[in-house]
Amino acid sequence: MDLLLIRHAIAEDPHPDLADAARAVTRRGRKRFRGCVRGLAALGLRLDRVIHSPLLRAVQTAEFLTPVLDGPSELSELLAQPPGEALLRALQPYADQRVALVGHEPWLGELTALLVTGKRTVGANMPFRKGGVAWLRGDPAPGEMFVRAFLPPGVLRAIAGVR
Amino acid sequence: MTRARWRDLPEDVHQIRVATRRLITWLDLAGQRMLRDDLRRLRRAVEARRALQVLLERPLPPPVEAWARAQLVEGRGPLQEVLAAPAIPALITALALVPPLRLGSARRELSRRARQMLRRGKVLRQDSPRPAALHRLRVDVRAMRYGLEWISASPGPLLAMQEALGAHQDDHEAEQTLDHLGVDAPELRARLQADRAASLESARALWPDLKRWLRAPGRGEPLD
Repeated sequence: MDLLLIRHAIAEDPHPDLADAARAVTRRGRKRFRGCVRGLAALGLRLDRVIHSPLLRAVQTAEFLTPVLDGPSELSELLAQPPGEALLRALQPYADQRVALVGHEPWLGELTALLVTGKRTVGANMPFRKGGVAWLRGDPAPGEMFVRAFLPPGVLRAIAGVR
Repeated sequence: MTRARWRDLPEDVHQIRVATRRLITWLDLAGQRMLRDDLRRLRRAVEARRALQVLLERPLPPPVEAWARAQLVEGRGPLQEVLAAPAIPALITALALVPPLRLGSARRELSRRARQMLRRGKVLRQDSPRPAALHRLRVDVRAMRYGLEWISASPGPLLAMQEALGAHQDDHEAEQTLDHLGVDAPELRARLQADRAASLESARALWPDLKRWLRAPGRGEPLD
């Protein structure tokens, strides 16, 4: 499996009058993440499936991946909580695919750590910037994946030739 | 949805199916891809059940009725599992958070659908149109109607056309079920074929007015 863990694009700041789930991607976030997607396209990365958290900023970020998506999308509440066995089980049917997971920190860092080292607790050593991508390969099981590339958003945009 | 899970009332299953279709149309008008596949999966989960419920609304030969009822019993558990999954409240949450529809993009999509419907409606001129082609037209008509309702525009003659094509499809599916089960039932088949012919004639009679309505300039919405 090729697994691309993608943190959502830049979104509205938290605000007491705005539910966290309803924070939308900003115009700046949209523009910058579209540049990131062009970077993924420039690398020849096509997706067989995208799975995203139900929070608005993740839904919108997943929508921006449409130009590189060749298959279905799927919402998963498991991407809006700490990663665990249920998420890894949910990934098993797609073990021969290239799948993007669009989610949130610190859980994406924890998931990366879990899949690469077997230990979720070192997730803090794998911080994701908004719009950043970790490209993993292997079996979606603890300690069974390796990091193919860690692509911060600025690098992806540079690959695309976008500022 | 809770009632469908625990009491399995046909009306509740029907409403879930209608809701998924209406929401898919909304996403299409918004030009949004995400959440559409989740709604389609939910629709597929209830579709077979709804088709069986529709089949059982008519008098059936005993073997067919028994088969349909057994299928309903067998399918209840899997449907309950789908409706009980945590993905369902997550989907409802995600749908509730999607920003409001923009009228401009909705109208452009509806104009595109109107052009598509005008092309597909030519099937009604054929002597023996294929049921699949009529069904595709019906899907277009229904989606157009839902789209207009979403932007609070009148669906005009779309509802009558949807009903005529819907009746045709229901009868076609009933015939297919008889074929699948290898049941003869000559009286029922004759009735189904006569009803299908009548539905097709209704649709043909409705088409000229619907075409004019789709093409009418200056109506204001949505096709300017």
